[in-house]
Amino acid sequence: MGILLRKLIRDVNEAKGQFISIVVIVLIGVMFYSGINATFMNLSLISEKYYDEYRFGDIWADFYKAPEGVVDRIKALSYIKMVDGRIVQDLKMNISDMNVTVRLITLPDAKRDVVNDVAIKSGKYFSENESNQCLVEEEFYKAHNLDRGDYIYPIINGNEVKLKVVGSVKSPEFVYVLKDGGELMPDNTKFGIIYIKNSFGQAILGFNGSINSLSAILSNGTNIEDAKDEFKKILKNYGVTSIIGKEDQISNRMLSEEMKGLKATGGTFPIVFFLVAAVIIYIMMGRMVENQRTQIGILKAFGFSNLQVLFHYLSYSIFVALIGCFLGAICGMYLGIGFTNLENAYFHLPPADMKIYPELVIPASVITLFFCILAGFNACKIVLKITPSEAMRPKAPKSGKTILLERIKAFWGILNYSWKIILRNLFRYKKRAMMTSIGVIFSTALVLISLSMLDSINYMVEQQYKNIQNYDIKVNFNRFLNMEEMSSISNIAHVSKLEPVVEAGVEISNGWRKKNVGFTGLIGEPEMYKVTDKKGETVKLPKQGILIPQKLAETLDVKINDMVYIKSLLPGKEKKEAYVKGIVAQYIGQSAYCSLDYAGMFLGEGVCANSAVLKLNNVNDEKEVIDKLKDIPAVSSIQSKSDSLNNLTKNMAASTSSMGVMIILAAVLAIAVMYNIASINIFERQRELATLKVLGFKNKEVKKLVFNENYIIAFLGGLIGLPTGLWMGYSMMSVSNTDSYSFPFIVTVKTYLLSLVLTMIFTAMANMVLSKKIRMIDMIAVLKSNE
Amino acid sequence: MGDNIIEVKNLTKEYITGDISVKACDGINFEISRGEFVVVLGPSGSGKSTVLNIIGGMDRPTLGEVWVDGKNIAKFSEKELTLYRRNNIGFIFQFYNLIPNLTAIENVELVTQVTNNPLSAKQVMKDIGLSEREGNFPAQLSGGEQQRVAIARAIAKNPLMLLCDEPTGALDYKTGKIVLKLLHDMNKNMKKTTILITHNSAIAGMADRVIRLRSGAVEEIVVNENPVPPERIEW
Repeated sequence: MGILLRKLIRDVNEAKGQFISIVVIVLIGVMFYSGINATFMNLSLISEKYYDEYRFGDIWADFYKAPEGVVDRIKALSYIKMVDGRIVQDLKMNISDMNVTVRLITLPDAKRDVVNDVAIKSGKYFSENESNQCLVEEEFYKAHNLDRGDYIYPIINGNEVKLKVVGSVKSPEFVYVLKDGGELMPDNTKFGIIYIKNSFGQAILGFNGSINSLSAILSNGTNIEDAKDEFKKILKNYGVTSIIGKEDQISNRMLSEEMKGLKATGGTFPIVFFLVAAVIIYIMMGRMVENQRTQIGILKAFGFSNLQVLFHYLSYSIFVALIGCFLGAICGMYLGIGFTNLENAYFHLPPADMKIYPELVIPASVITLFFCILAGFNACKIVLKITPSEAMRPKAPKSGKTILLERIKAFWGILNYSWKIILRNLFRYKKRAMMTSIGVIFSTALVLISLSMLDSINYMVEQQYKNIQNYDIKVNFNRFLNMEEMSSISNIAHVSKLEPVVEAGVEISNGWRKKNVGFTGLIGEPEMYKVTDKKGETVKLPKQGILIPQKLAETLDVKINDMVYIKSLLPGKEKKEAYVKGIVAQYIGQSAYCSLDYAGMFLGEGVCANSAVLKLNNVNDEKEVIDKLKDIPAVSSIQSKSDSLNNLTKNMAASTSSMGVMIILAAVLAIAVMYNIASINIFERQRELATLKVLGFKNKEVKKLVFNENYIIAFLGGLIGLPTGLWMGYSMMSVSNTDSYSFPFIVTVKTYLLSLVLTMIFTAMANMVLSKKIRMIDMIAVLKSNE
Repeated sequence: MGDNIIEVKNLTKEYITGDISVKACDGINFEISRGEFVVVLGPSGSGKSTVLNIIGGMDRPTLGEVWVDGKNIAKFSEKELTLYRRNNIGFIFQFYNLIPNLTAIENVELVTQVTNNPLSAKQVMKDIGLSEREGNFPAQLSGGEQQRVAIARAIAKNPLMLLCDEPTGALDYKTGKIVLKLLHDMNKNMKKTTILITHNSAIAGMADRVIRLRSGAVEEIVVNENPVPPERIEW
């Protein structure tokens, strides 16, 4: 076997380029498999540990106001391990010339273990000195360059309250600092968390021994739905606004959705690479065995057994698998660490305990070996059938054949020799052409998917901010305003138009299916805050009944004209019946829509609104208008469209870079496949190509023969790759859509064209590499010998 | 001699692989007149193939001059050599080297589409007597037929000269003679200078000039006053 191994190594050495290109594909597959899975494992390990250490809650209840004693009633429930009450209040604040929102949360005056505890990142916990000490969530702290001893001034009931910063903290509750489910990306300059002493909060927010939020840790195996019901019962009289479990907690949900996505990618994405590697191995080994027929015959004639010969050829693919796995695993480890850091740039989990998972190499190797050996075996099993005598006779000459296209005389007649050769060759080696196509198809599909990510985001932004939310500023009020108060706002200088909006939280249910969502009432024919369907067409609001987004309709399992129950989360409201009058598109958050009148009737508030959208004469006046709005006491928060857009664009950079990586991978895939299979093509046709050279054909003309064939395969493969990418993209999107946001899957004509163009460019790059192979064909050596 | 189409002066070709250098040709000199049928004779390793490769523009000498039709092709660049092959040389090989994916006539058309002054492919196919097989692919033709198509391909270029490398080497006696007759006729009727290399000394009888090589050097050059027609050659 020693000599055969030596032969194998020399075979590899003779076609280094081909060997390397297959190894690269296997490597990428293994690298991604182990890298992505390591990231997943790292993130879950880190987050679990973090959650555990800082006592992340299992259940949250928010309500208007309840005496602190209610905590003891909750604690009395058998399955409660730990429970803590607190005050949570969103406030406006001016900082660094900006109007921002901060969430004030109370913590015990003196350090003790609580549910959703904070991890001190700098400074110290509250001391016994000043009562107005505060701890600031780290991202906000960094975004505003805060330091210990600085003062910040949140506005409570129109008055600025002075708080002294004593440190920065992280909390498991705000791994992903989002204000609410309606937001897609955290904006650390515009929203932050501030922790204050409980005693100070009680006094300054006027709670006097009351709380408005509590969170508990449940003992293992507790049914969360039962717990929610019991909480609701206990808190019944205190105006429950929401009771949610861990899986609905925004930060945790974002984190677990991200991890779900990672796991899905880690499972499927590398398979494409393994599959393509298998295809190349199959083709390559098949040709290798065919071209070494005589050698196989000799080996057998000398008494090597079938199995020995088969194993010899199979070991080529085992070689590929092992080297690919080894290198891939090493790269994967680094990739895993890199990915974890990249992901963590969003989540800011404590970076300690990053682990390398050598055990991930095992499943990766098993998969790789499986693919490689299967492909290798299928290609080599012919070895078993070759008899020595037969193998050592010269091969029958390759036959040329007329192809169907030739029947079309008008077409065939105008072709010159080179296209005739190309087309006949393509049809003669159909299988090879098809196998090459598989690589190209996946490559084009990958390009299409990555480019469509940009299309989808653009479409969503366009829809959300030009079509749906066509306003410049949105103001929320801390109560319902009457018409008179509304008109005082529309009278502010530079405001050209105002539309009142009702926004509330409701529980919407159909039988046992229920969901807490937004409830949005709009004027009869809104121009600034519209509701649209999937195609982006405006949907008219019904006089009676509601419109709900597609995703919610699926969650509740309702169709148009079905009846659902809606219950306001405001205290003391009863369940009411409502009919679903239409299904609409909503990309960010989930809300039921209805007319303003209907909303008023539903909430029992008459014709008035607690929110308004404004259009300005000129967007440049934005700052001036915002300043005026800030002075109005009823205003609780102000959102400007330019801020939302800026934040979104800023965060888009991340998608762009992951898009770049995908496109590079697609390029590697296409080039490796092309290079490999075209190398076989050139090797097998070197006699023909050498003849042409001797006949005086220029290098350029000889190259054209091989390269144009590649271009044809690339073009056809690309054409099939487009719908394949579309299909893959659709299925990926439907998996990744979540309750908090649903991406439309949009592919523009530009993307289709660009995907095809890129595929052709990748082919041109492969051709460039192959150029040398053609130039190096030795006319004399090739032509003077018999086959 | 006033009308020499080829003058080879001090042709030396040295192959260096690693530390070993082999001189395939070592100072070869000869001339060939326009329209002659020349046989280059020699055992394997005598350097005859190297001489043909260099005259054919497939290779360049290490030393010496090769004047073809008034130009020293030893000084040609890669590109010039390609054009030289394209317009001046008709090659005929031992193993035919037809393009497997093109029919007989297409193999001939292949060259007529790229040269300056080609003959009609159809006419040449008729001249070699294979008109009725022109739609067949090489794999559907016998060895002799394939070699005749190869000759047609070389002739159709209307080249300055034909270079034949053991054209009968892979053929049986009878077919070999048919091919030699064809080459001879082409040489005489179309006045195409023809250089044929072989180790089969019987073929030398039909040549106007015989150049005998041994170990990379010229052993003797014989001008045949009365060449024997190929039909009468026996081996």
